[in-house]
Amino acid sequence: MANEEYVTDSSSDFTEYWIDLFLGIKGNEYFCDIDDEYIRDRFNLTGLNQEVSKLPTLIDIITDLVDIESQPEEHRDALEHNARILYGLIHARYILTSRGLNKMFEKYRNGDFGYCPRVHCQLHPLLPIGLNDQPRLNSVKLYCAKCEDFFNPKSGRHSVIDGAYFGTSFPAMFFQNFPQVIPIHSKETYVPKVFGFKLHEYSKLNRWRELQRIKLEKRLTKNGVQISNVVGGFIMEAPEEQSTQEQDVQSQL
Amino acid sequence: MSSSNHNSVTSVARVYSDALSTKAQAYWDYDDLNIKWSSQENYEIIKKLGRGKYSEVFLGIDLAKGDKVVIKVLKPVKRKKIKREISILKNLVEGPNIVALLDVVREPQSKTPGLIFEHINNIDFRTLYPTFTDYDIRYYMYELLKALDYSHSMGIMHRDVKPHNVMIDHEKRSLRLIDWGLAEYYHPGTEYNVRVASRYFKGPELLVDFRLYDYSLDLWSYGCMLASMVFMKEPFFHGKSNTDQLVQIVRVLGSNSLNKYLEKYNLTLSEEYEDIGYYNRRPWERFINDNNQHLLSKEFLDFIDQLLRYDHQERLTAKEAMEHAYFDPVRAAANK
Repeated sequence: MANEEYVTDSSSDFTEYWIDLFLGIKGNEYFCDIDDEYIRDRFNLTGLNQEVSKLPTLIDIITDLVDIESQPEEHRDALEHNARILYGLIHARYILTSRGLNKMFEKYRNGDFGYCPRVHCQLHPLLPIGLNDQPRLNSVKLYCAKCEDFFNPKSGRHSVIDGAYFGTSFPAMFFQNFPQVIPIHSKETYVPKVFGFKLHEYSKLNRWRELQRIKLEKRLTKNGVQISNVVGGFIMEAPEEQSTQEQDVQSQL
Repeated sequence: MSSSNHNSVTSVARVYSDALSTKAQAYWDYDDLNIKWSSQENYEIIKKLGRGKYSEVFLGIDLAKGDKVVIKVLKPVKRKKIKREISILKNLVEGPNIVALLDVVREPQSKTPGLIFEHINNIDFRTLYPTFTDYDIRYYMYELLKALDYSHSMGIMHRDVKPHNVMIDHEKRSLRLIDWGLAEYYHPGTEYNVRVASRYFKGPELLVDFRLYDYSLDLWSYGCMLASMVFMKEPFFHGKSNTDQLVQIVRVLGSNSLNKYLEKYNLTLSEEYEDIGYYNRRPWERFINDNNQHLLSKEFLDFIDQLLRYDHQERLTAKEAMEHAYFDPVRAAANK
């Protein structure tokens, strides 16, 4: 409720922090709050003056040292626009730091980035990811660690956000930092059926895949690689069933 | 079809009228049929073959045997109809040229039944029949009679005989009568639904709403099929509606014999036939032309004349038809 007030309250005398205002804009739910010290440390902003002009003014606006209302009226829109771009570009760097990762972890746990639409992922929470680190190339995508695939955001507000505000490294860095939340993968897949009958062409290919998978599992287990029911591994049936399973699949091929 | 002929003269099949009375009740009482459903897992779909009013049909594979099969998935219909089809197919499974029911399966959630049949490498009849020689026609139509005579002897009328339901593997020279979804057990004196068979193959008894019909209905449809193949006129009686279907028949067989038929069974035509008009009987020779001459013979003309009769009791039975001179060459070849 309070968030909505900020958006429509632009003409009010009541002052609000620029970052809070920015985070309150509908569609900006994917962003976390960047610490003032991080923004003010010019070391963290190296190179960003190539992406936006008037960098020092923008920093002052973001950190509320300067009120945008004090700027000449004809420049305000451009300044606000560029301040948002700058915040995004800093954000991409910030969320790779340990403080940033922790903030994003909270948002991940709250499901702020949405949930995987794939049925077999059982509403696993998503993480934002960019396809490029340069801005203005691609919009933000969402990564699911359960199926290890990524998706377009559902809402139009999110699908216009620049992917560079999150970057290509974020999800991988995230799971490096929080390995305990790497999910155990489900082996369930969709099997196309018509009135309960499987389709033969699909099934032939699936049986072949299944056989290769069982062979690989065997090899990995033999070489001492833990894959069953461990973090990043797969949900497995009891091991004694495996040899008969392989025979079953082989006989059907 | 507003007025129905309930007070009509009774009629009983000339043959096999007691076929069911000599059998145990469990044979024909499909209400009590207990179906053992197999698992679907053993069968997979390869491609769609077609669709009927009551089913979707797929080419499939039997994973255990590696054989191609036909999977007929029944659309939601009354349980009784499903039981009737399965009961009939099971009773006929050993019969000559009757499509073999291999298995019955069911989707566990929706309980949609699937019938698994042998696969026949069929060519569409519109493509295949025009290539037939006179002997081919005699050969296959004799094979079809084997299926009809057998099912009639087992107390079952097919009620939907037409080219679409006759599968021919021309390479193997084998024929199968399929789709027993409209088939029914024949109990003498029972009034049956006249809304059976496909329009061009509906017998006069169906069109004048005479419900005491019997196996001889199949021989009318059979006659329509044969006439269409030999005269190369597809379909032979081309009605634009059920009403018009009778008109098309009268234009060939004539009004006089129709009236005799109606009189014999004490039937009246419903009001939609008020302006049916008067037609002279058209001799069969009139259908001969340059295109079909090579398929014609004296025996054929005599044969078709004894099949396409209004009066179902006058029609040849399947067994009599098999003994007709038209099939002399076929029987001679078989005896060699």
